[in-house]
This record gives sequence, structure tokens and C-alpha cells, in this order.
Amino acid sequence: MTENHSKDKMVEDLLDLVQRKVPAPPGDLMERILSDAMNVQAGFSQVPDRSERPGILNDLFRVLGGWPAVAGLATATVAGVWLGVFPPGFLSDATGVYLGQDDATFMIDTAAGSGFDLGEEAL
Amino acid sequence: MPLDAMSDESDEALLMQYAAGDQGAARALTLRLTPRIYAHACRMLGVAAEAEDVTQEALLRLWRIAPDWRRGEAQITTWLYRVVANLCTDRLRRARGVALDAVPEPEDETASALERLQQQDRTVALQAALNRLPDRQRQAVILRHIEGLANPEIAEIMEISTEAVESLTARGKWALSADLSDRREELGYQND
Repeated sequence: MTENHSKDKMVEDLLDLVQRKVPAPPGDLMERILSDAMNVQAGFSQVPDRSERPGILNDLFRVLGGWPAVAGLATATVAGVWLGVFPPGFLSDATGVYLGQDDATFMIDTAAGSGFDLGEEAL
Repeated sequence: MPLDAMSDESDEALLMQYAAGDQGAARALTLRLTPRIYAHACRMLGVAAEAEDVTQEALLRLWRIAPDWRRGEAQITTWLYRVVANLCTDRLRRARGVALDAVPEPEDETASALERLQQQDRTVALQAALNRLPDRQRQAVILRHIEGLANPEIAEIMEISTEAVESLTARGKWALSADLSDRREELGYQND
């Protein structure tokens, strides 16, 4: 019992001794830490530039896959418009069929009296 | 008492100011937190150079998290102690068996040369015994008996109950006693 007590007292004494001896940080450590703080803080000022962009467009941009995907989409769109305005020769018939030009050529009025002639009489 | 020019500001308020671009807040936080974190890292690792690296890394993490810090969620010192503990544990697992007496101890100006030698021996012996404790016991003993934190705060840092803290510190002190019992006379303690 006495031995345990004296052991505890020794440990208490040693802990107390160490508690009083606080190791001080070296000066260059403080300088390095402050330098880190300034470097990290300098990066904060660039954050608002990014947040100024519209949120929905920003989200859409990200969802589409960023610059590579958006560049591909833009190229495909321009190519589509170009083909629409200046179609190559082999595409012209197909375009006509698709747009219904041939149907219009052969359209006949199958219900006399209730079609175009009725409209003309009314005039 | 913090030795900085913004001593009436809380750590958290200073961190918010730092995140908003205030350089004075960075200086004040560095002066306030570094000595405490460095001392803790020294006790945990027993190697000054390692303690410097851990202190710098812990504070770097604080600077980086500053803009996202959630006000009122945790105390900054609690968060830092947790980061330091994790960093120290990682380092100790990587490098067991480094020089245990590598932390230069501040000298007691009032002590005689003989007393100073004895104090140095005692400090080194305790640090070596601390380093032989299991990680969690060492952390609990250092926080409770050297840093002087209260059990509830230690419980928060270690993310355990206060009962578990009491158990860890009791077992840690018992293990220190057992470890150092053979060196009583060498360290200048008389048997009662």
C-alpha cells in the first residue's frame, strides 16, 4: 500500500515537472506557419470570381461534362446548321421527303364540297 | 492569457476574420495556437523536429478549412488536438524506436546545475515511459495531466465517453508507475 502510494507520488511529481516545462516553438516555425497562413489566405480572394458565374449554367456545364463535352456539342450544332442551310446534293431528295414536299405535289381533294372549293365559294 | 494583440477575440471569431482576408487575424491565431499545439506535439512524439512538422501541418489544415468552418460546431483547439493526435499516431506507427530524448527541455534558471541535471533525467525518463504507453493511453494522460484539460473536453477530443477517459488516464498512470518503479532511486526518489 505504501509502495503503491510512493509510486503514484513519483508519477504525479514527474507529470507536474513536465507540465511546468513547456517547450517553446522555435521562431522559424512561427514564421513558416504564418507564411502558410498568408499563402492560403491569398487563394481565398480568387473564390468569388468563380461564384459570380450563374449557378444553373454552371451546373449544366458540369453535368454535361465540362469543356470537352461542351466543345463537342457546339461543333455538332454548327455542323447541323451548316448541313441544313447548304445541304449536299445527295441529301436534297431525302430532305424533301422528310419535309413532305412530295406529299404536297400529289395531294388531291377527296371530299368535294367540304374542302378547298367550299372555301373559295365562301369568298 | 493569449499573447496577441487581438486577445479579446475568440479563436473562432479570429478564424472568421482570417477567412475574410484579415492578415492580423492570421498573425494573432498563429501566436495564440502554435505554442500550445507545438507543446502537445512534443509530448506526444518526443522528437522536436517531428513535432514542428506536425504543428505546421495541423495549422495548415486549419487555414485551409477556414472558409468552410461551421460556426459553433466545435472548438478550434478541440479540432486541432484531434488533428494533432491523428498526425502523431500516423508518425509513431511509421517510425517506432526514434530517439526518445530528442526534445530540448527548457532550462529552469532558478535550479542549480545538479538539480537541472536531475530534472533533465526525470523529464527524459517520463517522456520515454510515455512513449511506451499505448497511443490512446498516452494521449489521455498527456491531455489530462500535462495539458491540464478537463475530462469532458478530453472526451470530446478523443470522441469517447468521460468514463472511458477516466479509465484510460488511470491505466496510463498505473502503467507509468510500473514502468518507472525500477528507476526510483536513480531519479532521486526515496522509498517511503
